[in-house]
Amino acid sequence: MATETHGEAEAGLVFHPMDQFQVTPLFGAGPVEWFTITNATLWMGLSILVIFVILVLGARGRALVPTRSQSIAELAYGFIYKMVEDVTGKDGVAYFPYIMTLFMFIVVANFLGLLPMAFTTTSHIAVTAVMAMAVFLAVTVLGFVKNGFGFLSVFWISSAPLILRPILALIEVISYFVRPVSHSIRLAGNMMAGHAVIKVFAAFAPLVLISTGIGLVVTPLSILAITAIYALEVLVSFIQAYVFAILTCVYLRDALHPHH
Amino acid sequence: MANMAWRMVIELVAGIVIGFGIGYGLDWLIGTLPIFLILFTGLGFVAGVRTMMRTAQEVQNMHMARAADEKEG
Repeated sequence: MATETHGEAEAGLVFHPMDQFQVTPLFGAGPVEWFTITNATLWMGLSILVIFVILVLGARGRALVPTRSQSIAELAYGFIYKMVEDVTGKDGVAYFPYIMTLFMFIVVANFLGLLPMAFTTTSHIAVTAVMAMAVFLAVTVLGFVKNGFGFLSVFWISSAPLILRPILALIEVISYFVRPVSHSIRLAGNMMAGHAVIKVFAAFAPLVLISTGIGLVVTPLSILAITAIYALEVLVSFIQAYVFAILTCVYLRDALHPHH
Repeated sequence: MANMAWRMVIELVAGIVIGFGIGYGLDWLIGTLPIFLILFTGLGFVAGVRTMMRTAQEVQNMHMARAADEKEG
């Protein structure tokens, strides 16, 4: 009897945790091509719009005693500026606009993705990989421009015995290429995992409609779990944007001062 | 802290995957299938461990700095 109701319940529940990540064209049907306007385009555009509202319109008053939106803008600016200064040093401040842009885009895209029915652009590896590759290429080019071929000394460990150095150089080169991979996978993976977990719990929530017995226990539990995971996701959204920005700073520091 | 653990795991796995990719690519070019694959997967693993250890060092430095701050303040 119990197994019977259980089987019925499973048949009635709908599990589609990954459907929220589907990229679909907004206008008309058909394949997604290079310049097709999709939900990803829409939500990236919305992120830019929100950043514009916060940073440009919000801070337009330039009041001595800031309004609410102006203090958000000032807090974000001060927070990132201090981070760049602390991690990269005084000469890294020249690259502050780039890091600020990255941070604001990721944090706003993450928060917008938490809205119900929203599409999380940063959950796609395509988006995060482009950002990570841009950082990787920029930092590598910068390293060569600033230090010339001396930048290659990062891979040539002069403290090791001479015979080991070519092997160590190979290892160092590989670990240099680990950076953009881990940089992009971490952000996309964190966002995707959290959102998928919320969806899985959400699929359990309507169980009370199917079988009142187990449902009375499972439904409140799953709603509680959704709330808890959602709170965690708010935290993760911010932390992941912060981690992306701080790692960019660390890579920048390595490019500017390769000798330590 | 869970965040740091994730970072280290991804770095380790990424190292192995990149090493595997390089090795497989070289074998595909030269036609010596298992040799470079094994060699570079091993190197990739070492590179992953190195990156991971560097991250651990970073975490430790951060903790030491915080502890020093608390002692002063």
